[in-house]
This record gives sequence, C-alpha cells and structure tokens, in this order.
Amino acid sequence: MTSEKASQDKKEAANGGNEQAQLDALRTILYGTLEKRVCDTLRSQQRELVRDNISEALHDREQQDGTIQKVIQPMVARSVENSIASQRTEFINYLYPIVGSLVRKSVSVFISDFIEKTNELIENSFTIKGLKWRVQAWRSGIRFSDYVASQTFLFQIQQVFLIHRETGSLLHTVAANIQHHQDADLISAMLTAISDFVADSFMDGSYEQQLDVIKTEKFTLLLKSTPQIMLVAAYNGNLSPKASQKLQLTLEDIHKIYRSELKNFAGDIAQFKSTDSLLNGCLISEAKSPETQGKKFPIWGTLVFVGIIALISLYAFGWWQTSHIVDKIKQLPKSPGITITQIDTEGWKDIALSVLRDRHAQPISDWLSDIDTSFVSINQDEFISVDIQIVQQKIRQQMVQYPNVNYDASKQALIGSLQRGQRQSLLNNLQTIPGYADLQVDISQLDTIDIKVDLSQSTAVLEQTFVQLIGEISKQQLAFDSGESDIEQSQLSQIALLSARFTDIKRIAKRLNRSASLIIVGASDTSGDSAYNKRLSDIRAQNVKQALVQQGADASTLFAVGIGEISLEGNVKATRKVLFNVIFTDLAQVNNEAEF
Amino acid sequence: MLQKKVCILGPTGVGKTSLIKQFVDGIFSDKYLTSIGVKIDKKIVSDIYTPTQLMIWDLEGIDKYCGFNPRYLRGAAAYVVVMDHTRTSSFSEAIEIFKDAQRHTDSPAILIVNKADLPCTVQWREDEVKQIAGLFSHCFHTSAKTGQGVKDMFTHLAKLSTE
Repeated sequence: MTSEKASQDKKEAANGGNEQAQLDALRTILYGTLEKRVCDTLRSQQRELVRDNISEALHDREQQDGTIQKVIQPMVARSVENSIASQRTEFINYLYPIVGSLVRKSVSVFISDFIEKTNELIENSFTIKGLKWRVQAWRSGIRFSDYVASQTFLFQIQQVFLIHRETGSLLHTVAANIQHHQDADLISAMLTAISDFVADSFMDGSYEQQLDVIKTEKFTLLLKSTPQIMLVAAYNGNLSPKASQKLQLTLEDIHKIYRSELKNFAGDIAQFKSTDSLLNGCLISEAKSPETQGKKFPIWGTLVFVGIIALISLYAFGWWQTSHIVDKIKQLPKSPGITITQIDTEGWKDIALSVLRDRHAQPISDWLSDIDTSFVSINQDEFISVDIQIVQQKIRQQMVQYPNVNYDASKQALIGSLQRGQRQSLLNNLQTIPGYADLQVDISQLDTIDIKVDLSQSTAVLEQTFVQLIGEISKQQLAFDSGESDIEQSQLSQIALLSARFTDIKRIAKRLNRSASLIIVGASDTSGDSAYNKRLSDIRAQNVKQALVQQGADASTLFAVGIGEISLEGNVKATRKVLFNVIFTDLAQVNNEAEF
Repeated sequence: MLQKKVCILGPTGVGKTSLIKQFVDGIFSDKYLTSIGVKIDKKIVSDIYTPTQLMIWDLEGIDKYCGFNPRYLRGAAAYVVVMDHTRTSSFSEAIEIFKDAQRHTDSPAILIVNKADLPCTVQWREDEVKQIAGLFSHCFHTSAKTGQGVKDMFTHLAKLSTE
C-alpha cells in the first residue's frame, strides 16, 4: 500500500501536481516505510511519554482555555458519587473529624443567609419602597418577585436552554427559579421552529438570517448558535457585553467538549446532564443601585432573628420552669394525710396535679406555699388517711369534748378520769377513727368515776313506785269459805303486807301531792239467799277493814263495801273474796277546779 | 427516556391537528399553524421497550399553492403523511407530499387514512393501494373523532423513531 502511494505521489509530483501533493510525496519518500515503525515505536513508548508530560500538558491546556477542569469536573462528580455509594463507611470515617466544623460553619452561614434574606424580605415587603413595588408589580401584571428582580438588578439571566438545532430537542436547561421549568422542551422546540421560520422567511440569497434576540416587554431571549446547538438565555434588564461573551464562551465549550455526543445524537438527552455546571455558570446577574453593592447591616433581618431567638428562649425557659416546678413538687417533704396520685406536664407552663387529701391534713395551699403554683391546676380528692399523725390529730379533736382527759401522743396513752357513761362514749368515738386500733392506745390510766344516784327524791321514780304499789294491792285477794266472814290466822300476814303497801302508797301520794284511798270490796257466791249473801259480803269487807286498821292503816282512807253475789261460771269459790282497789286524785288539779 | 422529533404532514383538512389533539396535551394554540406554519406538541409513549417522548411537529396543511417548509423536517426521526378517505384529491396530494418529503429526509414514514368513522367515498384500484402502501413503513386507518387507531399509530410511530 505504502509503495503504491509513493509511486502515485511520485507520478503526481512528476506531473507537476500542486505543492501539497509534492509535500505528501516527499513525506512518503522520507517516512513511508518508516511510518509504521515510527508509529510502533511511539506506541511502545507512549506510556512513558505521556507519564513524563501529562502534568505539564494538563497544566498548559488548563491555562490556555480552561477546558480541562470543565471536562474533568463531571467525571470527578460521578466518581465521588460512586465511591460514596460503594464505600460509605470509609467516607464516614474521613468526614467525621470535620463534620463538627462543617456543621458550625453551615449553621453560621445559614443564620447569616437567613438574616440577610429576612432583611431583604422585610425591606421589600413592609417598607414604603416595598409597598410601592408591590403596587407597581400589580399594575404591570407581573409577579412581585420578578418586579423586585427588575428593580434590583441591571440584568438577571433567569433561565438558560441548551437546544439541539436540528431536532429542536431540549438537551438541558437550568433556571434561577424552579418555577421557570414548565414545558421547557416545548418552548425549545417552538424556538427552533421560529428560528427556522425566520431563516426561511428572510433568506438573503443563499445566506440564512439567524435569529439573535427575541425581545418582549418583560424579558429578552438571547440566542447563540453553533452548527449543532443553540444556547438561549432568557433574561430581564440590559445584558452586559461581558455576560453575552460568557454565554458565547460557554456555548463554544459545550460544543467542543460534547462534540461526539452531538454528532451522534439520537434523542438521548441524559448524556447532557453534565452540562449543568457550565449552564449554571451562565445564570449571571448584576445588581442595579450603588447602595446595594456595599455591605450594609441587615437591621430588619437581625431584629427578626433576635425576636425569634428571644421567643425560643422564652419558650425554653417556660419549659424549664415547668419541669423545675414538677421536680420541686415531687421532692416536697411528705405531708401527713396528703398523697400525690398524678403529676403531669400538660403543656407549656401547664401542670396538672392530682392529690388525695384527708380532711384533717394541712391545706394544699400551705403544703405548696414555697412553690409558684400560678400555672399548677390542682385536683383534690378526699380520702381517709391512717397516717399516725392524722389519727393522733383526730384523737386530739375528740379530747376537746373531754377536758378532764389528756392524750399523751408520745406514750400513746389517755390519762384522766371520766364518769362511766362518758368514758364509754369517748372510747366508742375513738374506735370509729380509722387507724386508731393500730395505735393501741393505752387506756389503763383513764379512770372511771362512779356516782351514787339517790333516786328516792325523783318524781319519776316516785311515780313509778306509786303505780307499782297500786298494782301490787290490786292483785291481792282474800278468799273465804262458804258462809264465813272471819279473817283467818293465815291471812294476817297478807293483811299486814296490804297495810304496809297502802301506807307506802299514802306516803308517796303525799309527796306527789295526791290523796289516795283504799276500796275494800267484799263478794259472795250465788249459793243461798241473795240478801244473806249481800250481808255476808258486806261483813267480810268490814272485817278486812278492821284488820287493816289494826295493822296500822288509816281508817279514814279505807272504804269497805259488800257487793253481794257475783255470778261466775265455773269455780264458785272464786267469788267468795274480798278485793282491793286504790283510788287517787291529784290535789293540785282538785284545787284548780275548785278555784274555777 | 429518549426524545424524538416526528412530523405530521398532509393536505389541508384531512384532520392532522384533530389526530394530534386526540392523543396529546399541548400548551400552544392552533393559531401557530397559520402564523409560522407549525405547532409543536409532546407526548410520552411508555408502552414500548424504550419509553420515548415524542415532540410532534404539526405542519400546516399543504396544497398546490403552498408547499411545506422542508426545514421543519430537519432532524425528524420519522414522519406521518395523513390523507382523508372521503376526499379523492387528498390521496394524490398525500403521495406528492410524501415524494417531496423523501427529497429532504430519508426517515421512515407512516401513511394514515383518517376519518375512518365516515363511509369511504374514494374508489381506488387494489394494485394502486398496494403500491402506495408499500412505500410506507406502515399504514393505519384512524378516526380522530372516535379515537380508532390513534393510540396504536402513535405507539408504532414511537417504535419506528427509535429503530
């Protein structure tokens, strides 16, 4: 092949071909046969050659056009991503020592950013200028953020599109605001169609007009093109030449770096995701007013930040107070008769305390006197405590009614004297105290006082005795044989008893201011003559009266009468009797009736 | 996911835009067709091996006074020629458009016979039909009104564009 080419070139040179052909011929003559050897030699030493020069070459290329880092950056990013995924533990170990500093720095940067942004927000929203801008934005019919941008920046590139010229496909896009992403692929395709339309419509001979700028009221599209791709920047304001140049350079870099991908593009746009960093570099903005260029103190943001910190501190302090009070309550010395059943923190400065309290225990307010209870809600239920001190207190309370008795708590003894009835009453009351039995109070020193009661002077007693005696006399009966009326010897004791009892009745009647008389009633049976029987009953009654008088009864108060026959079915002997009955009257009543 | 450009060509009034409306969601109104001669819609076809987003370029109706802008065909992975079987002239016009398109692109093409819901009023010779159908990768009978064949057509178009 090489010799054929050499001879062909020679022919061309011999035929007076052009200079290039002559040069090619010369080259072929000089190196033709050696070309392969040279290539092989180079190939065998390429590793050493590259090793010796790669650093310088990279450095020089980077200095020349800066493309090295643009090419390497996506590779490094992917490499780091894969390494982290596959060697997570090692990365954690690498990063762990610096995480603390990173977090601190990150927090510090976050706080600074937050203050700046809040300051900006307040300045844009709540100041006169901010309100004016809001009105202007509303009148213009654009979003407030866009209006702020237009007022704040000389220009701001909002979004950048990278478009494949031939198909109109959106290769990649980046935006300053995520909301600008909607249907970017359709917009790109239409832009391509519009560019084609313009090129076709305004063709000047064979020269095609390129669409450079599309300008509207609110934004401008700047189109930069290469044969294969188009870079479109959507911005507002007036783009500086420097920014335009940056776009051009970025376009050229992408064209250079992704040449083969663009040449063989078949619809796979994923391979252009790595243009992200290049395109993000195009989201340039330049601030408008001189006063915003200098670093000013973000007063509003600082105030808001300080306010937030103060609120958080206050809140945290409140929580600390709440938990501190809960701890204090839990650590209170136990009060007899008071038991905490539940203590809960319901919220910020809100404590719910549930207690059981014996009525004799100290008031809850006294128990919690050393604690700020302004945000403690107390739920108190009664219960009966068997705490020793409470039981002792209840015992003392009982002692109040018995001043002669002393309760010695140290010895657990009752000391003193009480009448029998009172003593029993006290002991009964003490037994009703829950827990009293467990104390085993010593009552051996609690003496009993017995009192003799003379009931003889008691009217009630006299009355009862009077009635009792009348009943006794009424029960007495003297029996006689048929036709007999004399008192037998065996009946004299009964007569004597009757006399004594009637004498007692007389005595008691006198004390009760009464008069009493004894009615002696003689009776006979129905055998024989009725008139005889009448006389017989009368004699019997008189004989008994005489016997009573002889025994000492007052004759003036004895009245004997015979009632004759008593007809009684059955035993007729039962009617041969003398019966007794006492009648009495109240002298006070008699006097009152007499006066009346 | 791949992104592919496909074009819809055909005479005026055969139902190109209606076919696309049956199938896609767009953000631009039909007025762009009359202003710059093209309207673009997109649709993701996911029931094929490689899910593909079709960027569908709907070119304005072409007649003997106004051809289509061949520039719009640039980069198309496939294209569709639509005709109407209730109108005899649309048949020959579609063939002309196809031949014209072949001069600017060698991408594969599909023939659509639209308005299948209406009775066919065109009388074609069978050999004529076979000859024409053979020029295209596939032929579909569709109805933009009822949706008949529309989804299948676009699915086939997506497959064709990725081959």
